[in-house]
Amino acid sequence: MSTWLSPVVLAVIAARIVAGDASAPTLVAIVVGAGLVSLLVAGRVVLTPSRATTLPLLVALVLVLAANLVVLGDLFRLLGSTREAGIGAGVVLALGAGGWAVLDRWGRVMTPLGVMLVVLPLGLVVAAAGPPWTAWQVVASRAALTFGQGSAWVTHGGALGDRARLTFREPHRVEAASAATWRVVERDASHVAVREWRLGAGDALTLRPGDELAVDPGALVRFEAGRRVPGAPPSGMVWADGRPRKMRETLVAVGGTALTLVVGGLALTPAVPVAGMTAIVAPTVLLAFAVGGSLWGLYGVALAPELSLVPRAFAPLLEIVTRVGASRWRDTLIALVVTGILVLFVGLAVTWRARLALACAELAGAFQRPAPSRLALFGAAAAVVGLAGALAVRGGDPWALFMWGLGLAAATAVAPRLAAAGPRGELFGTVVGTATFLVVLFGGDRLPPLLAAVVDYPALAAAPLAWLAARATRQPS
Amino acid sequence: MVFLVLGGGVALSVAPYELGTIRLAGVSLLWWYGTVAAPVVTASVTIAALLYAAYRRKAPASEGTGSRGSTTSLPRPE
Repeated sequence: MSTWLSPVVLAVIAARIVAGDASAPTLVAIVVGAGLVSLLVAGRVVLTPSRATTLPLLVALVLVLAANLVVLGDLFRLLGSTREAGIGAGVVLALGAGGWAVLDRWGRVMTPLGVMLVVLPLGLVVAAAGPPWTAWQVVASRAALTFGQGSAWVTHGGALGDRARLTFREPHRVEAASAATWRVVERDASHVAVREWRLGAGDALTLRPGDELAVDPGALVRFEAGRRVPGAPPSGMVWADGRPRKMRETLVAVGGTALTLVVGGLALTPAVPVAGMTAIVAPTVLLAFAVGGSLWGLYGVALAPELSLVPRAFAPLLEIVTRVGASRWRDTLIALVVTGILVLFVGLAVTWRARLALACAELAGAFQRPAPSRLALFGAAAAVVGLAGALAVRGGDPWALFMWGLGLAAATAVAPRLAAAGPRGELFGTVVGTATFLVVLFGGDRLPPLLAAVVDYPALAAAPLAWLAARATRQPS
Repeated sequence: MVFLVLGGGVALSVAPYELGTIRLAGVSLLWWYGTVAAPVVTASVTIAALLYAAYRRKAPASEGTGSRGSTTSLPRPE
């Protein structure tokens, strides 16, 4: 269950709500549904890796871990450190979870503890800013989402995300809070011009509607109070109702997310049935996590709409805590939230280690070697964590990495296994699933229209094809 | 049941006349459904199903309840 309760999911739920993504409420329901399905089938659908599925499962584990390392990097950057420091801390934590035997016993407590730490400060936020439905109505009735007088983006300046490009809808005087190169794309009816400036701290530029601004990574930018936040929904009503999308796009987005999270997650389903208090605690924790994540996003946009400038990070959590907490409690609250996120990551790493051990045992069996020793398992974990760390340092969209990881598991391991087609059928299904997944992922513009429609959700095409291929080549029993 | 509830969210997202944007107590129907109704209903149903399954597993075999009959594991192919 810790896969759905991992830091990347929390960050994405909050960020999508801040950004006014129309599918955000559905994403909350899908995350809860996927976690619950894994609890319901725990012990029934046991997906032990086979020779055919071991390698894709290892790649999926690397991608899921890398996605979480990327958001830990973002978290550390928000705390004033560097991305690399956050990723390094995550690597150490993941390796610690891989080599620390005591976590075998206490690992199951980590995720609920992390959720509690992340959700608890929301009580303070609700007490300070009013109940969620009131906050929602206040945001939905705003004529525009603007920078507040006390916003850090107005007083001190803030750093935009990597490769961020801001499009302005109204004239806006923007100031450099640190020396950097600014690139502005000016779009007129007749031509497009790209201009570059080297600005020192305190220098300003006035941007016109339609202008697009890009700055060096890490450069601090200061905005004008009362102006619309570039990139944010134009009004509260648009935020509340979401930007209109075509029905086909909505169906692909929701269907692709649901299939990837539900089916891919089966590869990481617990091997023992859920019983006793866990039957009550696990769904409740899942519910608290998803609802808590959406509340962080809601209060984020209510108190600091400029948070949409730094999507896919833990900005809503940290920003809101600093705004509502009394100054003497601020550091404690931030420490609480950060500890919660790190504990969630350790919970994921414990599950991840168990899956890695299964895959390594299967690989050893395939080469007719004895079961790997503790040291060999640690070595394998170090290699895989190192790969995930290297991938995270390269950067990218953590949600895409997470979806690719679970999508690959869905298409290459779960779908062929669900076909119950025997070793030959499963191998064939895995090959077809992998090939389709890679073609959709890297096909780009060369894809036929049917596959191009699902380019963001490769599992949507690859999983059904893998299942069909496995069924078509199954051995008669 | 879980899939049915998820399907409801999808239906609400693509429903005609922007049904999901209708306000209920000031908050849109899609928000109520996605962040409150669907998660609470599915979690409640899951808790009930898990408790019932655990009860059936515990029930003594002598009572003829077929306590392990519902398991449909998918072992790896040998």
